[in-house]
Amino acid sequence: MHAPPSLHELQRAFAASLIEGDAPMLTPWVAARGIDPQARLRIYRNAGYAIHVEALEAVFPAVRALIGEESFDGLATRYTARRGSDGGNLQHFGRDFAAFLGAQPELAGYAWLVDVAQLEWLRQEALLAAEHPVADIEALLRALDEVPAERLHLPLQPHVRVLQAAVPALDLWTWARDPQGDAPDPRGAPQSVLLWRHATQIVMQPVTPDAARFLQALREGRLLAEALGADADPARLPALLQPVFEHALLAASTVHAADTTAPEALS
Amino acid sequence: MPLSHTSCVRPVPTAVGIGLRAPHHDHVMAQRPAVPFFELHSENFFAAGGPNRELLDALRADYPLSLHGVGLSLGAADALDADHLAQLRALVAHVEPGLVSEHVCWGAIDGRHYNDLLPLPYTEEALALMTQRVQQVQEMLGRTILVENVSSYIHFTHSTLREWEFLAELSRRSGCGLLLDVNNVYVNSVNHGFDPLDFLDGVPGERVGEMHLAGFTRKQGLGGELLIDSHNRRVDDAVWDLYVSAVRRFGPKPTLIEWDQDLPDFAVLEDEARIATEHLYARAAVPA
Repeated sequence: MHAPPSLHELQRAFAASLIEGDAPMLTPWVAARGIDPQARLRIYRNAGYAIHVEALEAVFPAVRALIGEESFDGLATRYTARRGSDGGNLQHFGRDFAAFLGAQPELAGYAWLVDVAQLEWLRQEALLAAEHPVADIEALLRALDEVPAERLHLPLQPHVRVLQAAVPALDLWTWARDPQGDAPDPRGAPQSVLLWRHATQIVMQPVTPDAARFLQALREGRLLAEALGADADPARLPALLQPVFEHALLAASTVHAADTTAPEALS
Repeated sequence: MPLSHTSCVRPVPTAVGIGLRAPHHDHVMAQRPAVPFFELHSENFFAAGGPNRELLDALRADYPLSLHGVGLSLGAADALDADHLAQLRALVAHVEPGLVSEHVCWGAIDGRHYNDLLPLPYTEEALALMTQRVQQVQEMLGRTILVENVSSYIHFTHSTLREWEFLAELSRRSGCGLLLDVNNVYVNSVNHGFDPLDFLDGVPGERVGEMHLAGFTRKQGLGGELLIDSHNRRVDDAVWDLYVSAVRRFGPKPTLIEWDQDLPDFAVLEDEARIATEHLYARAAVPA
């Protein structure tokens, strides 16, 4: 018999058996005790897939409802095999599940699923994000008056997310979770969605495409002028900021002018 | 370093606690049941905000807490995930739990995580690596941790140590405490053919900081007897007997009821905790 595997060799071979179900290098080193070593390894393989499929089911309930449990579990198993998990915390598993769905040939006629899946992933991100103190409205208004838009950052709360969808993603999600009446037509008007966390719940609100672009730019840390865009009408700023004011979505400690070395105190 | 953190807000008492899972969050928050302590899976509370963080802050005001990690992959040949460890450190600093624990296992290799508690060969190489990793974690957290024996369905033939010898030596070399999962001892004794009392005899009782109890299922159709650590039913009579033996040997230790699949009403967990408490205190009354 060959020399026993090193720990690294053993773990690589074990990992291969979890993904591919084949472990010719490993089985000679597994005690049988009346049970085929491959059967022992299959217990781990089956458990591993079940763990990951269940994690995806928890994050993507609307996608699962829309395509059916069997189809979902098949796709989730394939995703697990191909992509795998990149962390020890399963709450972050499924980050690119939406893109994966979009690349599956059998879903070519269901491109709208990608946006629904992305909406569900953004809900998960919003659920897990931090919360900063809320910006003081008067300080914010003063900043808007006193600091040029070319120098002003207006960072949003870490739990704010924006979906710029090509389909009525929010209507489809809502119907999937509570199917009342006829299903929405996926070819209907696109919906952009603003998401944020209020207490322990995720709130979702349709916004205009302009507002979605603007808010996404703020999320990405762009300066106010950049977020507005070169040809934007400054008079539209109050309307674009309306949900931010109404739902207290600006973070206090980070409202600052861009070219200062430290966040500018605005209160 | 001491087995438990001396400056923590609430030490975990020598009593029977319950592993808290999401389906019971609302019940516990609404009813505030008289549970001596709760154990939480660390990773579920890494997020800096959101409902779980709110729950965590409410719980720590009312209950002693134990943090039980499932994702650090201590025994992987790769380096520890620095980001995961940093999140654990931040959580431990925030909660100041009475106990912090992880598993004697691996779960990731070459950057891919399998999110499972995979078995190690009980070799000197694995022992040296586990010792180094446990020391690294303890230094990072500034406190000792407990490490738990895992259930397994595979025994590697090139192992040179018995499982209990591995645990005892790991504790001796690293200074960590042991979380003795009594159900896992029993499951492994059947799956790998040893006397579970030999396991208990081989464990340094003074290093046992906590015990776990859970239910298992029997896997059929494999040609041999195999138990699965399913955490989906009441504690088996054979495990209760082994728990009594463990309490006799080691004295009363903080004990936890774990139930992770097919969760019943919280009252069932409380009833399991009641049974364990009877065993714990009955044995505590027996002179050594």
